[in-house]
Amino acid sequence: MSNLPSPSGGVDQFLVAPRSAETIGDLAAFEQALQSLPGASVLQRAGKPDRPRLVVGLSAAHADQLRNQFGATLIIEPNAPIQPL
Amino acid sequence: MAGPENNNPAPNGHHPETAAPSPNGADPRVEPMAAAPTERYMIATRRVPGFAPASASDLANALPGVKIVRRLQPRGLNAFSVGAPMSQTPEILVAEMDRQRGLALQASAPPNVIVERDAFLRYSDDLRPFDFNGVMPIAAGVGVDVQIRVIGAGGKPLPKATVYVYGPGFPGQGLTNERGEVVVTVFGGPIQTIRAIYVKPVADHWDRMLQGIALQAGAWNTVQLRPLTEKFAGFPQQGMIGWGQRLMKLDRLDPSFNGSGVKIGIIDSGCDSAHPQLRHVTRGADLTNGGDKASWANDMIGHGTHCAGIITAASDTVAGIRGFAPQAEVHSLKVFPGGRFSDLIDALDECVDRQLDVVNMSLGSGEPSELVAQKIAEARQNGVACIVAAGNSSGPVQFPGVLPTVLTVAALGKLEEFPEDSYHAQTVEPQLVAGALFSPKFTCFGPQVAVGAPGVAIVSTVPGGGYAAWDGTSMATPHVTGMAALLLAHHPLLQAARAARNEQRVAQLFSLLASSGVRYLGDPTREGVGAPDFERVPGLAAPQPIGAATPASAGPAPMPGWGGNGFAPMGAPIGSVMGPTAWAVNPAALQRFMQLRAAGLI
Repeated sequence: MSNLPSPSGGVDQFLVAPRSAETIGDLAAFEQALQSLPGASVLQRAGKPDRPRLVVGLSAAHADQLRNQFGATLIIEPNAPIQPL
Repeated sequence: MAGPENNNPAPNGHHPETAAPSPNGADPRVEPMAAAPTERYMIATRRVPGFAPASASDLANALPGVKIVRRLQPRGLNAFSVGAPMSQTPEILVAEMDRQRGLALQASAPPNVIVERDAFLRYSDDLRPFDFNGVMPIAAGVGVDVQIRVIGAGGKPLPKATVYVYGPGFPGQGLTNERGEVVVTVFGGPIQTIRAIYVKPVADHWDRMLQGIALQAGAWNTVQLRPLTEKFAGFPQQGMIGWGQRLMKLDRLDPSFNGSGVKIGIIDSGCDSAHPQLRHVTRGADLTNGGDKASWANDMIGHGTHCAGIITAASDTVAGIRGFAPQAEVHSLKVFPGGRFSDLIDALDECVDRQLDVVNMSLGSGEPSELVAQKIAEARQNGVACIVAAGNSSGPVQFPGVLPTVLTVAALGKLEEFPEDSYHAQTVEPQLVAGALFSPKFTCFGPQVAVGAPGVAIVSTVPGGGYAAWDGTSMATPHVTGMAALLLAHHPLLQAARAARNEQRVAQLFSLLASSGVRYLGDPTREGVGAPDFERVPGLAAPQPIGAATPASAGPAPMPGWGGNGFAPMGAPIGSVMGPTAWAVNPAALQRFMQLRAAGLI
């Protein structure tokens, strides 16, 4: 994940995953919606078929917009850095 | 021979385009720049009476070569109000442009437009060598070159030592060359204003903090570091057991307690498996590199190698330090440098897939994550026990240490285990000292702290085959992970449960660890139930003295420069959840143990 090209400018990384097995289908709808947003992209597909997750690059404003649209069924949260302590 | 290295960047973050002549008179080398670097600027409107409302977008768009990369919208209720108040933060544009253009834009902006550099933030790291409270950075003037030579025992030059120089302005830093020399440039005043120097060796020496010093300009100022062998005679050919392992009574356990059969994960910066004490670490994955099966052994930071040494250092080829579980199967899951939550989730997936038993997580984040929390809960349900560092920010416990599904570890220190002029001494806060033990000022605290463990001046392995003494809750955590591995491998309660990879086993493990805690401070928010102690684990076979294997470091006589830092050591714990005697047993834990035995479960 970390060797992926770093999103530039105002594009941040976000983690996206279904809240439950019943809402996995919403991930495809999310990706569809993502395609219409300038500068947004899928950076990584991970997880297992029954627990998929995406790492996407998009602006904070677009993330808010998508959260309003999909927040009930998908978790959309910043893919924040972790540090050694 | 090349001149001394100068790794100190200019205050604006760019390398100087022309280098100053080096002190030895060698010609400076000037490296051409491939392209003019761009800088980020923030542009916003400012309400000024008498000026018409301005548009930051119009201003930025009017200039060629300006690229808007981000828009920060107003938030909160004010964002929706008509006639925004003067105090409201306006929309902010973040734009990239070359420096000349940025300066021109700043100079030409009308009064109702703000243009300022979008400068980098620095995170607060309390393990940074030194911090003078109240020091305000001042405008850079003429830089002062400070020539430092770092030597060890017998005047031997020490290369790759990091030297920090603290004056009235920003600290400067550099790395010593093969001759142990470095020139560090600092700004803000003449050399007489330098207030302190901190030298951090790469290995095998104690660090050193020098304050109230008188430096000479135009001459080499020599700093001599103490070798680790000053305290640990004959090390590493002659073995030693760290003060942390002794506090937890690892030295009272028979070497047959070695963690055999247990699988440990270390989510960190990798592990230098070429180290003589870590050659048995042969499994891992580099999650910063697509799960690469080999590059996990390239530990560029050293953090993971240090944690690995505490957990599993083996004395097959060199006596060195004693790891807790040298026969355990260790998996190094590399997420640093550059780790994010997604890498941590990948690593936890690996832990579940590989059926690991206990995972060391000497890491944290300033932000929470629901998905990481879910993954840790999933790991626990699969029998993976996550042991997590509390954090080093001197504040509340960091994520994921705040989660109820993990065992969170704060750091403890012990007086007389480090030289008085080392940075370790800076972690002592007088009001947090209790007998010989203390709560270091960097450790995070809060009700989530489950246990305290040794985390100051911890000697362990570093890449390249050497050893270093480091501080942090990161160093405390592997002490508990190592003990957890030994309990999983050798405690009858957990041996029987080892096949059952479930949440109950993790709960039992955490309960056993907690029931063995010895409180030294009297403040559960800084040490939880105290430091786990093998002698107080109910149901564990009686430990035996090692005898001949008693380390040279056991009970060392005080040496000059190793005083109690002004605090008289008393040495006795102030309390224990287990009772006053060495072999007292927690009644609740014993009752649980007897019930399980009566039920035929153990």
